[in-house]
Amino acid sequence: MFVKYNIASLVVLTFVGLFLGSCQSNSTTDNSEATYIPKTDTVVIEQMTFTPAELTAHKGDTIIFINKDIVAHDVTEKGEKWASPTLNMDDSWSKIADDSFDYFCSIHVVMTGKVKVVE
Amino acid sequence: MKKLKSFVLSAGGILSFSLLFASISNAQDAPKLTDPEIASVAVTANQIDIDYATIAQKKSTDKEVIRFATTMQNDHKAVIDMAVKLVTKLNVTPKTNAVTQSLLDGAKKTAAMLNSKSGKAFDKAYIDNEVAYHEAVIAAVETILIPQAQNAELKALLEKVLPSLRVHLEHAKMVQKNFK
Repeated sequence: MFVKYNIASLVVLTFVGLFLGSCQSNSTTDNSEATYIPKTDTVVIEQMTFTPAELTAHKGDTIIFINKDIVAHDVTEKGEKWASPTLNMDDSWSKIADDSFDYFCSIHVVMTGKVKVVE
Repeated sequence: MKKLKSFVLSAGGILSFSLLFASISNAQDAPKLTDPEIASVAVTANQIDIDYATIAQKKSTDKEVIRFATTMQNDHKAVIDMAVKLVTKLNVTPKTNAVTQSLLDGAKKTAAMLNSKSGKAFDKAYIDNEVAYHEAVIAAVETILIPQAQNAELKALLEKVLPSLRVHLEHAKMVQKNFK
């Protein structure tokens, strides 16, 4: 009985061991997912608006601004700390997301947008 | 209608242009335009605003007025370039008509009025005229040019231009607040 119990225990332990091994393997996968791979976000400038007008990006993401309007636009930080070059129709410009910022088009000052950068 | 009356009163220099819009309230009285005539009206209306902006560039020293005028020059030129490209593709020759002539007559008077002013008085007159002109042009594009355009590509171009006219109006009203 004892032996049987021990054999049964071994069988159970083996399964537990295999299960834990499996969990460890999954845990390794989780660790790799925790390392964020930067993605690309797109803001389309069309019909005289930035779409989306409010974007949430992760730190390190690349944000691409594409002008689909007939007229030229730019992307200027609200405090004018930086600005894109003038973007003519079908031009694009990209920026790495580092900090949150509000922006506007300095050519059409009523056009505005926001980017919220999260870790 | 109230907006049109306000336009007539505020922009005496473009009174003849306003006669066109006075008829908007009666659809049956609105001028009937063919596509070549619509193309002529569209190009002329854009060129007139470029000409006003050129006057502003010469006469104004106000940073916001100059920035607005520069935007008008570049944007309306971009629209003309697109219109020219389209009529060339469609093999359509813009045709001068009564509306085009009315626009040109009004523009001549407005240019004379603007040239007679200087300093803050000029800036105010220019921006007031830009607000009135864009309100009138938006009304014309919405109620006459788009509904009457027969060619789908011409209609699409007019529809594409409308948001920029609305943003110009919003921008002009923002600058206008500095001269109240």
